[in-house]
Amino acid sequence: MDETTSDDPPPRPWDEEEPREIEEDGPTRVSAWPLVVALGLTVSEVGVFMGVYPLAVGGLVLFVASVAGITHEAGYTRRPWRLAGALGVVLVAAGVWMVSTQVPLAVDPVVTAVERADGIVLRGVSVVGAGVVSVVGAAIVSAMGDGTNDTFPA
Amino acid sequence: MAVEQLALTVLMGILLVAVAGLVSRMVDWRSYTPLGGASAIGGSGYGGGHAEKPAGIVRWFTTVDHKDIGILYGIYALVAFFWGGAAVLLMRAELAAPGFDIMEAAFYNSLLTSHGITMLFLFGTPIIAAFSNYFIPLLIGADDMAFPRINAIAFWLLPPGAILIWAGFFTAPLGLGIDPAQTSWTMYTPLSAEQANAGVDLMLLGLHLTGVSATMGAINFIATIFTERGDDVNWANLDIFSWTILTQSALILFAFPLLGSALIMLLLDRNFATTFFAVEGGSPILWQHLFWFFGHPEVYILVLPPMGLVSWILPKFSGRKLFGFKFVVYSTLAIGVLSFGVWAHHMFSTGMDPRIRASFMAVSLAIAIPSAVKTFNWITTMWNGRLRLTAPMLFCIGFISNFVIGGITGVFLAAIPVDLVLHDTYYVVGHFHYIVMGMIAFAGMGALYYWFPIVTGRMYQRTLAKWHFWLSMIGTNITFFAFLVLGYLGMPRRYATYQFDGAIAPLAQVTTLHQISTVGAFIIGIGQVVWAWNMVQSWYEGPEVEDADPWNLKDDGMFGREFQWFEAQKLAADGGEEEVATDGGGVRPDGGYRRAVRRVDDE
Amino acid sequence: MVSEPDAKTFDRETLLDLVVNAIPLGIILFFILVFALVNPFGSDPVNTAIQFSIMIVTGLALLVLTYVSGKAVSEAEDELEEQGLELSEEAGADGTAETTAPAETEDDTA
Ligand code: HEM
Ligand SMILES: [Cu+2]
Repeated sequence: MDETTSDDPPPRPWDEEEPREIEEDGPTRVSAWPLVVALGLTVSEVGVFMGVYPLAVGGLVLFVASVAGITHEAGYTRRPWRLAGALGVVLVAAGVWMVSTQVPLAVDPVVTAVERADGIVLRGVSVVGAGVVSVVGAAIVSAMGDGTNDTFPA
Repeated sequence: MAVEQLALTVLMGILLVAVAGLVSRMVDWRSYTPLGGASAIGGSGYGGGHAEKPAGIVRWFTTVDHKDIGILYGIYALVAFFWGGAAVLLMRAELAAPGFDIMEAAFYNSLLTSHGITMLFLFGTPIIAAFSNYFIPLLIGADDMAFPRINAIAFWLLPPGAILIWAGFFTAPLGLGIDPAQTSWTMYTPLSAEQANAGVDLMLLGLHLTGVSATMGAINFIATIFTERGDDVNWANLDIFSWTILTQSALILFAFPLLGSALIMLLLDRNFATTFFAVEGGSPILWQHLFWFFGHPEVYILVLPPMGLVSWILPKFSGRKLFGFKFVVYSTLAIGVLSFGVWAHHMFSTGMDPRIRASFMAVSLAIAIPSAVKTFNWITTMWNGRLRLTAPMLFCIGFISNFVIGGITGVFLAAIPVDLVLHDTYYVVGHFHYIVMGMIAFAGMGALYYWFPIVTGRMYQRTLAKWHFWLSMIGTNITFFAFLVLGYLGMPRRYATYQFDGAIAPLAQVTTLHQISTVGAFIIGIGQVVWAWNMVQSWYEGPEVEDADPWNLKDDGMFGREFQWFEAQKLAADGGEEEVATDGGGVRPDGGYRRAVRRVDDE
Repeated sequence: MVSEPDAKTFDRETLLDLVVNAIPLGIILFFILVFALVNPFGSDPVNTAIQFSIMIVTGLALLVLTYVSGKAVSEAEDELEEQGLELSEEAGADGTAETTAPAETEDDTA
């Protein structure tokens, strides 16, 4: 412990257990993700609550992606895209639930509700949309990776 | 509508692309960073070698270092302080004469709301977080916070929170129909539920975000203080500031989630026709209960850490250890618990059951004891001490003096018969301003001066600091003592005008007192301008501190852990340079040390 | 963690420290008694129950926290004493640190 005088963190347990190139090479006191997580949370909150659907979808996608990114960076998951996909599924479920509180879950009633601009149904649909974008996006990106690119392992 | 949504979609797309680009650049940069700190095994710390922290502004957007985050919190809080201060100076100007002179009621109400929320949530909580982030890890011998990334997230939720809370002021001129909220900081229903103005929703969302931020921070501090203490620190020698932060974090953990839930209920009432706080539903009084169950602990969330700061700094300039250290610790914990049993003393006049009301009075009187105990401890610490009236010490003494008035007025208000007379008058405003301005802001200023050498490596200008103190102290007491008297005269709070019927209140005296307190407020304002100048100029041009003991604390055996850390940094910086010269690699992460001390030069 | 098999959890000094929280507890107790004896508003199942539980719950919480924290602190003190170290907010557990350079302090504990 001759490093007690320094302010440097000792290697965190997960840094050692899961050797990953970035973490070893790169600085340990820097992360681009927190800012993005905060931004994603803010934008999605405003988007969903105020019923600004583009913001809702974009914010949620940003939030999902950044949560996946930061947990990966911190070493809590090896496969961020899978986590992103899973979070997308959660969003789809949440959105479907929101819609289901208002109208029966069938095509016609939902379409009519959307047409008469029912606020809650529209919000639910936007959450579903964000979930779908996340799932599809995660799938595409992880399919593009060949499994050896460790920056974004699928 | 369609056009708007389309435009927003495009905007959102651009934002997403920008973020993706930014992050990927970050990742690139991370992967290509040369192994600059191969020598710095054991962590590539604080700028350890310039390769390891990005230069310039990017560093501040990406840092997860507790010290950097502390600085960010500090700057954020001070920006908010000036926003809230500007708002109140406008209000005081309006109140210099009885009628509507320079603004309309709506604008006054907006300023009032913004001032209160800004000062409590955007200045008070963050300025405390600034000190705790920077210094708790140093004081307890931890390497960093337990969850550095969560720490950074907690900070980055605040700027968007502030933008949302202030949003109405920016959007009002655009004519979108989004105006600043006029709910006052307590957001009492039904008023807040019925104001049809998207600005209120934005403010509530912003508040919610700052609450999430505070909760994340609290969890982090609890985890840090419990698990990251150095080998030589345990409960018996944990410093007093850490104790108060621990208690504060526990209070946050119980209080803020409740505020968050109540805010969401209010948002639902406003936008989705729920009836949590409607007369025909859960009743408006429910809001008051929920709000004050959060609100009273919140006032202690704000005041306990400043008490800790004073308990830490005051002995340093008294040449004596804190008298009755354990008393202060246990009474801090007592305040933490009791503060959850007093909330309805804010609601004595709501017509609640008299038996229940009496109980809240009982506990409110009980909570005054641990507060008073501390006052006596501080006074006894100074008694026969070798006092050195440096700027931090002056602010500590001012803090105690203001607490005597602020605390005693609080005890009066806690007595039901007195409160029924004084409730909703300026007396209440005087009471809590003695505390929030006289204590919280004062302790913050004192701590800023005390630790200025550590953070900047430089010394502030002492004469200006004394000017700052005396202007603040005199201004505070002029302004808020006048409030107390105004309250006795029956001046109700939260009004932009005071054209009374002479039978209700003596208009001439009320006018004079208002003018006196306007003058006092501007004196405070001038003091803060002096201070801002001092901070900025000294940060850039102040004399560098040569010695790690700028306060001569070693003479009294008072050289605290944070200054020990500072000394180690300085030693390593000096010694490290030689080592780099000799063996080229260096066994110490010296770059970091140099950086910590001379950050100013580097940027 | 367990220091002595002693029946007493707190020694004299610790008890003295804890007195500080006995005062608010005493005040609450006082009011409980007063409100039990003097009852100008009459009794009502719900309101009287709330009335007393506010005081009793808060008082109990204070009692428990005082006990737990007092115990934690006195155990920690024993631990330091066993290591022959001094209590000091400033210097960590190292009694010599008050006047010596921190670099040495750090080495001692390393
Ligand atoms: C000595 C302990 C204290 C007691 C017994 C006490 C008592 C009270 C009472 C009874 C009120 C309600 C007055 C009314 O609205 O009619 C009040 C208001 C207030 N107190 Fe205290 N107080 C104490 C300490 C503090 C502290 C330490 C703070 C702040 C850090 C504080 C901040 C406030 C605030 C902000 C209000 C006004 C809330 C509002 O209506 O906007 N008080 N206090
Ligand atoms: Cu209160």
